[in-house]
Amino acid sequence: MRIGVPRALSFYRFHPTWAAFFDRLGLELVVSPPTNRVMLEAGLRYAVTETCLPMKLFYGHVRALVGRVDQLLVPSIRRLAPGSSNCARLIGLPDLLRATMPDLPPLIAPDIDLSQEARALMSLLLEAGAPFSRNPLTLRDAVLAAWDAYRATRQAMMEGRLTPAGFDRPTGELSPAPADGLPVAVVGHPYNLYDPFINHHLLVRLARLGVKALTPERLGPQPADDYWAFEYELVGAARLALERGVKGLIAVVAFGCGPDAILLDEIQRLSRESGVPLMTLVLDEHSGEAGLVTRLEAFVDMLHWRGAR
Amino acid sequence: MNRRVAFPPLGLISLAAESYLRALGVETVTPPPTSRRTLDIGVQGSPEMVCIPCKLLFGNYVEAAEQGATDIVMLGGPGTCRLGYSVAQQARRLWEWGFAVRTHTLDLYHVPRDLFRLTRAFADGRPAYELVEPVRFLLGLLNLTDELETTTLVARAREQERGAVDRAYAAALERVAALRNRRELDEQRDEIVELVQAVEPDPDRPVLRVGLVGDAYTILTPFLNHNLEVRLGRMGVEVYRWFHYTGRINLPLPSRLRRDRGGRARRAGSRYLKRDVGGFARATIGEAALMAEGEVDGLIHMAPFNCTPETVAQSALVALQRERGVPVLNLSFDEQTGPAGVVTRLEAFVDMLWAVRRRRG
Repeated sequence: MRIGVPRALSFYRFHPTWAAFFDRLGLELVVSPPTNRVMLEAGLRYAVTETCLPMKLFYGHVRALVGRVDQLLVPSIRRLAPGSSNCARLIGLPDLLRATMPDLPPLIAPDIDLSQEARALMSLLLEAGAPFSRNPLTLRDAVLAAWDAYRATRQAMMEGRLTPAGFDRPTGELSPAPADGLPVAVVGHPYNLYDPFINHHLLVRLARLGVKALTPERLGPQPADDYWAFEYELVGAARLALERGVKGLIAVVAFGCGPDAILLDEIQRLSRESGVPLMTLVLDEHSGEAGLVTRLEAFVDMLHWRGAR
Repeated sequence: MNRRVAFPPLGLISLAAESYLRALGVETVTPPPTSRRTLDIGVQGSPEMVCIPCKLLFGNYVEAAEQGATDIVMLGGPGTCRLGYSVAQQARRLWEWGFAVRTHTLDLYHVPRDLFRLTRAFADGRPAYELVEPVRFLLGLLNLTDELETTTLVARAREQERGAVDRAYAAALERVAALRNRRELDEQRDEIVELVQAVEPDPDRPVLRVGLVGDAYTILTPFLNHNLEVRLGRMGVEVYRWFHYTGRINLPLPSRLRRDRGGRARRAGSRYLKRDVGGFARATIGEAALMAEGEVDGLIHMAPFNCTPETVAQSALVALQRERGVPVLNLSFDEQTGPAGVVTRLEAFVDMLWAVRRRRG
């Protein structure tokens, strides 16, 4: 039995968790290859035109798996904390996919609602695992392995030993940030930061410009009282980073992202109040590399100049 | 200073809400109807990428404050739609812009609960039995405006003299706005509805039926949708919108079917959208699925550009279209949309629906 995992959206958050889980059940996970232009074009054929670029890429990654796998893993992430709320597209992901592609393999589509503590994750993993094993001991094993992997991943990311880009590589991948570089917070959702195709190798470029990029998962425990499920990745991370004395802020958002449209306003406020310069990168399928490079260089030059003054 | 409450323009709901507040003995301020100026203010005070209802509503709030409102009812509340979050931001911005107003959120997911809460806040400790009458008045008003509007949406298609229905409708609305309490409403109700029904229809004229689904704010704001309902009506199309103030539906169905419309819509829609993704997405797709079963010739899906829940609904409509073969026109609106583009697409869609009907005999 081969289970397909699109390398998009929640892959960049939960892949090690699911990998540990399905590994214990003796199932093979097949991750779609890194994003390329062909996948983007395949995605554009299926996605609603107005949706955001990460969604369009998600469709492309699904296309790359159709025909090669027996089932597809597409979780619906509802809530991470009580009172919080997730983007409509991420909640409706399995429904969206079923509606737009008639030739899909069966979906494994557990609802993830972490608002009732970790127990929810357990029961959901059981929900996802029950079709594959009748043995409660195996299931228990798998759930515990998944939970360990979840915590170990967070810890490793906080210590800078792992980034979401390296989730499906055995050794993980070290963050390219030089340790003694200019500290700049790069805030955004992991699927925007760690897919080099979507952001034109932003993190590598920053490293080459001598910038020590602080990304949300490096910044430590996140407050759980936010309205949007992943608000901490933008506003919370920016706040923590400012406390640590970063010299600049870079916000990476996708064009048409519902929550980010509003959260950007909060980041602009933070930047105004603290006097730390902010650059906003809005990503869509038309964004060219040259424009990005020029803006990055200018921004980093400006930060150096401010530092020297 | 006396409390002066403003409710943002939103179809006939604002009319009913204001009459209700006056019946409670609260002074009200009527903000000007949504206009170009509202949009300009809204664009200035909102994040660039946010959807147009958020921008227009902020403009409405500012215009209400300019008219001297002390209390503003804001639409929002924590659903999954962006409005859930933007109200907090908007309230703060009003203060930053120097408007000292109290803001009250009307949670669109919990209307009855918030209606109770806001009534308590505005009624200043009046005993509960004095509130029964105003609430009955409000329900009566919502019923009446619903009936007026649904009658108008259908009657336009068969009017013999262009504009006759709209004149009658305007006259009826004036009468509604003048109502003071439930007693007056009960006395004049039939007369008011009669005003629109009295317009002589052309029974021989062939008409199409089109269902409007999608975001309620877009459907209820003529400034945003370039008066789409009136334009359709004048093209000889009977318009059935999914959204009604009282939750009723205006299709000519036996009353037994009409009663459980909401439940049936949920069941019909769950085939295409199992999870509640916020906004009006699930209601939209449910109603669309019911209407697609021969109730209408075609569907028009209306949404603000980049509305998060409605892009989900739009994907679900793709499946509906594939399975049921019902024609769907997707229209999205933002500050850049011009009337010419909308009219051209409406005309083409209507022509196509006629062609389909002729082919089916």
